Amino acid sequence: MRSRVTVLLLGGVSLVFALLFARQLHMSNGLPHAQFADRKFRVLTYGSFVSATGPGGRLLDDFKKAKGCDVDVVTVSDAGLLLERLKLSREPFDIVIGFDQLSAPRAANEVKWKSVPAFKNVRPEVKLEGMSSDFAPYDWSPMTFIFRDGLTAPPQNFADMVDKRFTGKFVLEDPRASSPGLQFFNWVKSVKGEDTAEFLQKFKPNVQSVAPSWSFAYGIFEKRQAEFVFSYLTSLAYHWGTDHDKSFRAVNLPEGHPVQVEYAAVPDTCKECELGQEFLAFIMDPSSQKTIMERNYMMPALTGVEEGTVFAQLPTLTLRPTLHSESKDLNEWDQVFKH
Amino acid sequence: MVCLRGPRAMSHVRNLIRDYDGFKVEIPSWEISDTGVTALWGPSGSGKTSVFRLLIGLEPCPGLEWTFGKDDLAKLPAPERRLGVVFQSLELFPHMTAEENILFAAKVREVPSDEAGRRMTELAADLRLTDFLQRKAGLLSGGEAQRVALARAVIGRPRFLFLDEPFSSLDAELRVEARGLVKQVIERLKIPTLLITHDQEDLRALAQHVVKIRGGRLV
Amino acid sequence: MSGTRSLNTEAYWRASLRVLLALLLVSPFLIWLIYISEWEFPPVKEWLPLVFVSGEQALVSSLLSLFFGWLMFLGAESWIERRQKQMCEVVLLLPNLTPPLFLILSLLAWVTPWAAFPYGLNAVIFAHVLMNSGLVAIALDRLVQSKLGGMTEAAWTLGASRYQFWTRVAWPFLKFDLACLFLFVFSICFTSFSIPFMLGGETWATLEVAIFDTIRADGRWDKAVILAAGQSLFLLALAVALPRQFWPPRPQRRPLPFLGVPQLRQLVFLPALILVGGWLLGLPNSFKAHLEPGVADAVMASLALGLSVGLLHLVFFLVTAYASPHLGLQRFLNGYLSPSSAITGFAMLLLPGSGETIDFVKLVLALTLISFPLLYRWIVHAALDGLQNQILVARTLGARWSTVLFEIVWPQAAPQILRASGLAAFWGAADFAITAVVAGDFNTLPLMMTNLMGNYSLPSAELLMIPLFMVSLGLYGLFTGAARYVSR
Repeated sequence: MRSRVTVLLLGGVSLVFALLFARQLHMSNGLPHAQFADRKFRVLTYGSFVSATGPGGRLLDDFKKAKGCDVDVVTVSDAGLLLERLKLSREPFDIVIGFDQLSAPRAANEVKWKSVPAFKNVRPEVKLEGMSSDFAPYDWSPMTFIFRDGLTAPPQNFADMVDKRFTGKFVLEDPRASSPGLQFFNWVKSVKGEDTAEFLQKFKPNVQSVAPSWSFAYGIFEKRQAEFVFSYLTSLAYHWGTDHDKSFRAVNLPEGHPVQVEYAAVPDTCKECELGQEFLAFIMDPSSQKTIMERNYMMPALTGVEEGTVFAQLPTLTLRPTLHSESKDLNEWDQVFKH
Repeated sequence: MVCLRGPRAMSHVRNLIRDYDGFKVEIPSWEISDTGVTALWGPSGSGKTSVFRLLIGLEPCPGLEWTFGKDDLAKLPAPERRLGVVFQSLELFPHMTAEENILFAAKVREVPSDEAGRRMTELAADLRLTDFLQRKAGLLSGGEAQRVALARAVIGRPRFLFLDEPFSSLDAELRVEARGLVKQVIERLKIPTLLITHDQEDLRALAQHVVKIRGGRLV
Repeated sequence: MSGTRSLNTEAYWRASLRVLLALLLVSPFLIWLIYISEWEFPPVKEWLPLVFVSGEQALVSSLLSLFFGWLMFLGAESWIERRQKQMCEVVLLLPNLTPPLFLILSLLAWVTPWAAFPYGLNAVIFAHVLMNSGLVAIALDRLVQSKLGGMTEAAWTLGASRYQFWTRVAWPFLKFDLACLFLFVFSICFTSFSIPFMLGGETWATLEVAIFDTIRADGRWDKAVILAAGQSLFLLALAVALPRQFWPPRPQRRPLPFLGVPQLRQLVFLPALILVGGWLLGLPNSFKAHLEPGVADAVMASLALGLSVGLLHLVFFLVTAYASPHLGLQRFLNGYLSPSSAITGFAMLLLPGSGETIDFVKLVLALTLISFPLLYRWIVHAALDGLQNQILVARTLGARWSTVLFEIVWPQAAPQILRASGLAAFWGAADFAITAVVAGDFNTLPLMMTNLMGNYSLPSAELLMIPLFMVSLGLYGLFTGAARYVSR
């Protein structure tokens, strides 16, 4: 009996090692993993950035080849956990990619960062007042409601959103669990001010669901459970360009729309700081910006990159000044939505 | 195959046949006396308990016929066969008192309460239950529990009483006493009884008819 | 003398292993206790409403699970043949074994083509009932078989109706066991995360969701750890008050068809049908997608992860078996529920060491800390508990504890231990909560699915359910196959 237990355990452990080794071999295409082992560059980002369809994989591969370094990518499922992961990590990171203007201020307060150079041809939309210059914007998008043509006609202005014809047709994101959710709440607050709670109360019957994340909310929309989803204007680029479906549209309200800007930054505790800075410069290069635009479905931070692409066809929305403090005051939201 | 027949055998069993994956009960025909005690006697593993469970209806036996008077009991589910059963493990309800165990049986048989009370008093006297009627069944000794189980089995005036090795958990002295009490109750109430046992003493003390079983068959 | 010394050494080892096991299980709390220098107790008005909502949700979910579980039990009892019974058991357990992601996607697939999915507290309760009523049905079957089997037959032959049996015999006798069963289901629903997170809509249906939000939105680990510790202590206190474990070992089966209600037969299949049917409904959409590159790597990663988690569980169960029987350990293991995935996962990050291998080990450890107490309570405890008399006899004869473990306990408890380890492997391969926190660049299938969902690739994400299911089932089959090897 003792021997059978030993066989089981040893056999199992051997199988684990075999699987891990096979995986390693497969990922490095059979080459020894230590080929570029001289310098190891650690990146912290969110999962979809480096997923099979995201921009990160391609960018990092190109960077690796250009610099002859190895890259270690650590991901979190949700960009909101980037800061916690950074603070708790034992090994330093050389660059963090994926903050937005709502999470970056807290990151700037709680962690020290290397200063980054000013990049040329950066769009004015991503230069947000009061944002720390240690954070380099690498992509952005206006936020709005995406909908399909041929169903309910979209709202014409903010007040129209509470109309009864929209009952159960909107899907939002939870402001506590999701950056787009907080964006929406801040947007309402900046438009409605003291009447925020009243507006949300009237709007509530039109909300089919409050999803825990953008991907879940968009899934609800894609499965046609809701007609309007709070998302990025650039979602249209996915439907028009990749899916070749032009029935998707964006709501354009005269009150103006908020923007979402994503940032990268180099922590002060970096080990390969030079590589971190170089990668930052690399992703701000026009060709990398094009990769980010086409695979992350976000507008490039530099001017001129989108010309000749589907992104250039996107409607122009009126933008309003974007709050970039991560407001924790969700009282009005809680009053209306939380049970 | 030899069957001992009683003077007026009104209970006829046919096709008591069941395959148990390696063991087979095969009793094509059997007449069980409708009076007195018939003992089904055989060594361990001979199929006594299987026969017991099949006749009571705890296990299916397609094709079984069991005529008792005008009724074919085999066509009835166990509760409607109106049988009294004392299991080998007794199966008293430990959270009820001895009295509650017995009256439970009267209630489910829809015995009117005053009649149930009268029967209760008689059985308590017959089986000497009075001293521990209010004690929880889980706290009774083996002999006490066995008498309560018998009282529970007969208070509803069953048409047939089954006793599955009722004295196996008792010591020799208690067995003698128990047999006497059981015999007394059966004779007073005139309930035909099938006694499952491997103990020769049980046969001597109780059985008017003895049927031997071996390998699932009557011999 | 040397015999006495060796017995003392064994006693020392067993005591040390008990302490080590308990410390390992509470280690996430200990790690945070050391790491956090400033503590602020969350204001009562912040957490009390959460406790009420969580409690309300868990109470309704568990009561409804008990009710529907009872109905399914009645339906299952009308299936008489042994093979039919085995099939019932598999079908009833399927929703409980299925990772929450599958369950959620199946539910969505049923409703969304025709109507808006009703997110909120009701959806969470529905999903919990779907998940747990089969488990309740099987637990009731085990309870009735092991504790009431003979009494059921006695009551039936006496002529009791089903109503009389349930009200006069079963309920009074089993009420304490039913309370323990209720507590078990209540704990699962109270500490649930994935289902309330995804289906709760704007309602925080459990404290776990609130804990996650406290971490994500505020980075307030002190508050989160206090809430999690409070939750664990609350459930531990309940478990100490109701110490009887509700899940008896698989008893000698006797058919009790008279308990069965034939009209409820088909109810047994309902939760599994909803699950599998939903998945099949979603398949055509998935076939529009294609498998993304990196799937082979993700499959190997999931296999390695699941297998490691299963093996570590096996080691933990062996250690527990060696260190048992011990009342304190049993009470602790039967009551303690690990803190949330986020608290456990991030606590592992605080441990020394980093790098791919160390991160992998931390991930495996984190997953084990989360599921070991539940699997012990559900499956292994009954197996070990049933051997107490034999252990006593062996010890009386002079056997050492190691002999008792390998010659008495393991040969008899191995099937349950390996089944529990297989389940751990199944869940480990399908985990995305802890893996997302600890894994670093160890990209498993569930992580790949969530990343694809974050990139407009929902059909591709759904398509990955097929390899994920195959990996998880394969791992479970591997462990149950090992059970057969051991039993030879």
